Amino acid sequence: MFKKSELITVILFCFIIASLAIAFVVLPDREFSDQENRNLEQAPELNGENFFSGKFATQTNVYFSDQFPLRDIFVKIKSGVELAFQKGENNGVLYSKDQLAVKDFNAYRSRIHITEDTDRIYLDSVSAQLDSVNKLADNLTVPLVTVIPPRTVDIADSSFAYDRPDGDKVFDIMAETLSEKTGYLPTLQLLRPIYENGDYVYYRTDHHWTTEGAYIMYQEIMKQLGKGDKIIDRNEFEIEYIENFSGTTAARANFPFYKKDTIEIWHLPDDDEYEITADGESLDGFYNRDFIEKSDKYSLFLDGTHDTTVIKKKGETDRKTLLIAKDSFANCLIPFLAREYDIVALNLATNTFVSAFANTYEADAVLIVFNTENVITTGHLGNLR
Amino acid sequence: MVFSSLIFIFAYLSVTLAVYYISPLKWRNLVLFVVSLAFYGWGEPKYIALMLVSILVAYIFGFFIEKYRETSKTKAKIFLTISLILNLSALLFFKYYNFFAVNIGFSVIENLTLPVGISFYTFQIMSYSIDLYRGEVPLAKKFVPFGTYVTLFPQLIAGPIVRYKDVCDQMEERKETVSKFASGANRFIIGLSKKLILGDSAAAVVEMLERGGEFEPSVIGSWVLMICYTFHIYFDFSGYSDMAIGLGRMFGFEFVENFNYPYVAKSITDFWRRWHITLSTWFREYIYIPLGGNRVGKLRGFFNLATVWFLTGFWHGADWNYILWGVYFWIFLVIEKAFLGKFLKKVPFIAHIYSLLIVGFGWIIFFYSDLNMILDTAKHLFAIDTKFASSGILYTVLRLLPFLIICALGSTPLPKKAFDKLVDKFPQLQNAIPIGSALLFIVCIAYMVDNSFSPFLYYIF
Repeated sequence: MFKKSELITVILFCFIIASLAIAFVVLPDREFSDQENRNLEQAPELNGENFFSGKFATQTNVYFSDQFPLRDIFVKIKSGVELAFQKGENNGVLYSKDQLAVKDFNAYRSRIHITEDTDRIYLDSVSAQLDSVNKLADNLTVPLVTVIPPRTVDIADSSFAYDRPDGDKVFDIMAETLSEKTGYLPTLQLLRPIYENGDYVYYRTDHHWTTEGAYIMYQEIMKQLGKGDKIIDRNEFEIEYIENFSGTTAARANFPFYKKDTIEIWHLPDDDEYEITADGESLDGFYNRDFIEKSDKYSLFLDGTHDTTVIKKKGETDRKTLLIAKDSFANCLIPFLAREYDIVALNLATNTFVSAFANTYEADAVLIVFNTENVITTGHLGNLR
Repeated sequence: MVFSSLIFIFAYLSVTLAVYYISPLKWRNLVLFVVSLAFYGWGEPKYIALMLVSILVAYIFGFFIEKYRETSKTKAKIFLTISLILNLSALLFFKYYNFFAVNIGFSVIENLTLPVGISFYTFQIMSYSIDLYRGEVPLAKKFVPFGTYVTLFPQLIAGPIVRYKDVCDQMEERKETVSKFASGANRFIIGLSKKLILGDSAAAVVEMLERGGEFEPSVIGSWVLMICYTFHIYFDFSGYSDMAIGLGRMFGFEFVENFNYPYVAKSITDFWRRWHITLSTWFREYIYIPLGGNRVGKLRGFFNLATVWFLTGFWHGADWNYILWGVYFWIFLVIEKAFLGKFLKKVPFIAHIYSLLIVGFGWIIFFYSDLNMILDTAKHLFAIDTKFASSGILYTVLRLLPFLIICALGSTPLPKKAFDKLVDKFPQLQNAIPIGSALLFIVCIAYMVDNSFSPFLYYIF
């Protein structure tokens, strides 16, 4: 005979396996995970070739975990248990009460698996890229401003016990290498004290700066371009709050408990007076409100990533033109600059002949906005001409 | 397919359990045989034929061995030898050909991959042939039960190495009961947690420290690496054995235990009685004792021991570091036999620390196939030309401290003892076991769903 508890064990075990297996078969596959903000693996195709190469087995494994019933809850349970171990991170994302941040892998020197002097190679690559910016500055006949936004882990250093020896070295190199002509603005030194003061300059759950952070940099850029007197005072904006924003960093970590973010849209009465075209198609204003309901809320700024975005003010033809070579950090900054300049914004990853574009678009000034993570990992900055 | 995957538990195991328990009793072995072949074929479709041939060889030669066993010892011996050679040649070829080719100077065969589980199932098949020759097991007359014994999926790819004589009765007749199933399910979940929650996390730390150490070695970093690898290999492998034993019970089998808290050992001799028990048993039964064991001269005894430990090392992998690893243990076993053993008995605490250090450094030999890396790590561990702490390492150590403490406690019998004591005191706790086990299962599922890192170590043997 058996004990009652043994029977319950058997029933529970079989119930868990059976119910989840059946749910897996019955429930329709999802294309996209809102919580993790990424596409999910679809059922792999079975044929002789991928079966015998083992590819089918590998893909099926990913398919199983991506389409598993209650996936969103399970990933939270896992990161909750990891936190309970007091590890302070999950999936490479650091956790503190008020801030999440993707770990700086270079501080661990583990990104590149080679035996030589890894640190020097990575810093040399940054220096080489910065030299391209110097050369661009020499070739341009118009003023240049360079903004390289830090990563959250740089700005929010004080929020974590995480030890980053020489963590700021890459910013020292920027300050040393970039010539005066590049108009380099030391973003880390400007924003970190403001963050430490408790102001909301970077999102807690996303890798971007907030509209507040972008506004501070807008002021600095205007000053650098000699337009300090044209800065719009913050009191003139009417701020709209978009609650419940959970960004890319949170999506990677899946922590069960964290404060969500609020996206601020800083409105001015003349918001509707701009003509915006992105890759040839006309946009309905600076802010695409469709994204407010989606998980990818940051894309509401200028409709997310586009190759070329052109902004003009209706009925005004004598405004100066600012050419911006950028990544997504610029998207929430551009609405500020557009009040003063006609804007041509190019995705820097795909448009590196900036001096040629400056001529084509008859730009009066050029601005580079390309964040530190991209500098370290992509090398695109080094292709600037 | 590994046990700690969603596809195993929710696709394979769910269907297998259902089909098995719906089938009439006499078909159940056939069901197990077929599903085990499917289990093997999923990850290794190419080599399924190789395994079947090995089984067939031992099965057919079994009849010859049986026929001549009583009448002509020589003929029986010849058939046994042919059978063993045929079986071993597959293992030798796939596992060791390239190693010998490199060291002798022959041309290497590219893309020669090791068939999963071959080291394990070859040994199981051999145990049958040898024991049959010795007259210790009856002839396997029916093919399906014998094929099922070899391919039985719980123990097919990573042990325990189940000898035919331990399970031949169960192949023909076993009883599936609620109690067995319940204890099997609990055992499976415990093994799953050991591997996923502790083993894999320790492995992730090892990988991080290995890369960090390559750039900036430090004393602390090397020690933590050694400790984490020690935990990784234990929770990974013993977790896998727990899962195998648990799965076996769900189908009515009782396999022998493979681990007995090896990290509480108080000597290396003791350690090897507690670590991968079925492998040590196999080598003792089929190599050491036939060689004469220790009932021979002192010199011959050392030689016998050396042979066993050379082979044990070499069994783990076709590389010099594995041989070195085996010989390393042979040295300590000889020293303990000669004089150290008696001394260690008097100082249990020191003996425990000594054993952990020797075993831990053994894992470093096991870990690095590059002999220079082993020497370098030895230098780092003993602070020779190495700085004490590298940048960032203290953060790592502090944040991992709770995890490491849990690992340390988890490698001792303390948690089980404490739990048993509690149940003794409060018998109603019995009723909490199903709930606790279900919750742990759910946590394991969560780890599999969000799984970015899960190597399985013994899978390559």
